[in-house]
Amino acid sequence: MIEVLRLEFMQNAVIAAVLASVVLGVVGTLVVVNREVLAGGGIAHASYGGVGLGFFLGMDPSALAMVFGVLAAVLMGLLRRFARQRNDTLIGMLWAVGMSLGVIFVHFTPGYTANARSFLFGSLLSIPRGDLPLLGAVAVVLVGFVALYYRPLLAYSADRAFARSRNLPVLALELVLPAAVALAVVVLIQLVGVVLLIALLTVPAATAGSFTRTLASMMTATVAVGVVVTLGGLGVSYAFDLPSGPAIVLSACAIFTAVRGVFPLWRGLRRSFRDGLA
Amino acid sequence: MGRASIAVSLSGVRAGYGAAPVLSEVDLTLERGEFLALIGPNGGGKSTLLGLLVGLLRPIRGTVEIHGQPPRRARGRIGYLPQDARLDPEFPLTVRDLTAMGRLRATWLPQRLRAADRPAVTGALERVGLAELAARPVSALSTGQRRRVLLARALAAEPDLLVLDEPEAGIDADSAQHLHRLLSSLTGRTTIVVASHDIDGIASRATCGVTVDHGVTPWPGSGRLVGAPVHHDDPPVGHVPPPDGTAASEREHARSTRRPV
Repeated sequence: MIEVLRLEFMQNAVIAAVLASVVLGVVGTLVVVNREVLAGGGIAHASYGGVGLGFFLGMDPSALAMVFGVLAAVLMGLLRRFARQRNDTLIGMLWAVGMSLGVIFVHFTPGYTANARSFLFGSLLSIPRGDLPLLGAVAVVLVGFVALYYRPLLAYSADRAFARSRNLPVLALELVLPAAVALAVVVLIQLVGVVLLIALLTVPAATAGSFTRTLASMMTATVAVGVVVTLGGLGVSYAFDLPSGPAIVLSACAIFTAVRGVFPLWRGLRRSFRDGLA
Repeated sequence: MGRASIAVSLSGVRAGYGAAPVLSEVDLTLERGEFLALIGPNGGGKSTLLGLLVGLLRPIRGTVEIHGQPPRRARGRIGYLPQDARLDPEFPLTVRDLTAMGRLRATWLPQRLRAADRPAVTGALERVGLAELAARPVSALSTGQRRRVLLARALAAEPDLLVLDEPEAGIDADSAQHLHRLLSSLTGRTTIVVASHDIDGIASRATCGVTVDHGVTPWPGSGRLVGAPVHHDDPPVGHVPPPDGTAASEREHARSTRRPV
């Protein structure tokens, strides 16, 4: 196994997995506690429009995915605030429009476009070293933002009416949070792709939420769970020659099931057995 | 009444949420240190009036001033307990974290909990009798305890104006007694406005009061409007013949606990 880590593509994959875990620890937690899972999925899928445009124009698909994601996030925030439409309807529209644009752009792209598929389902093992500085920069920006604005974010997330009554910058946070999701999408899309991204954005945070008491500890625990599931999924993927994205997502779901389901059930059975003997 | 001594001023206010106003022609003035009780039927406009005071709602017409400023600019000096704070039971939040939110300042800049904030948070929790539960998750509290933590959050702001929307809702008799004592101890130092259905408990401790039913009607004894200075020898201003009557013992208790302004 140590031999494998000498391979550059594996080193890149491990570094990317750790950086992605930091990102999903911060953003995934905010998505889960704010109950914005659907919005997260919407932004992720809308960003595929940028991927398609990147292939069509011969530009960096990741950079344009970020631009599309941020635009979708800001648009979602503004429409939510000012348009008299149901929230889930707006998210569904942005979700579908982004995917449709991406598919159409890829359709009109001349030549070989199989790489576009890796953005749909992820390809951790093919991340080039040149992408790692961008992933690191996104992780630093997101962690820095949350560290600086932790208390207003906590108030906004826990009790929005109260945050408004204290004159906190609620509208700005309504726009910044989806934008943070858009930044996270650029990192996580490399691991699991647009289609499965919603799972990575939510499952590790939901797992950590079952044994933490504060927002900060939930973020820290989500980073740890993220490292376990991404590296675990990577190992499974390599060992059994499976696609890495689905392997990571299934690892995350297995750990969630163990923490939220099997362990409490096991504890309950053990208690019943002990009480029965007493 | 000098302008500097006025805590709350509403003049010609009309307010509501749609085409039909909930409140019309509201004129109300309250001096610093007073304890104003609002009673009235559901839908009569009590929460709307409180929303105007804390700046969550803007009047359709008229002006609202808190310490001579628009409410939005005075928010840092207001402690607010909403009627229906909807806290997600699964949100990872401790009692201390929730209370500490009361120390947040209205700024775009990053802010951390300062050294001066910690005693204010601890003191607020002690005042509502929940200091020993500071590290407990809010999700593990009873409805009444949760209400008391929200009150602690309002108190943690060390406000000049305390605005409480039905603080007695969902709390048991002991907690209600605790709340009554707390409000009595604050009267005279902090301006208090409380919307309540608890006529025997909270409203009887007020120094003045109005009935809110799409407009405001001062209680008998409130003089010109609301906010006449209260003196020990005065008949209790807030002691209306409240709509449902008030027990004599409660009146006596209220009289004994009121402080001069």
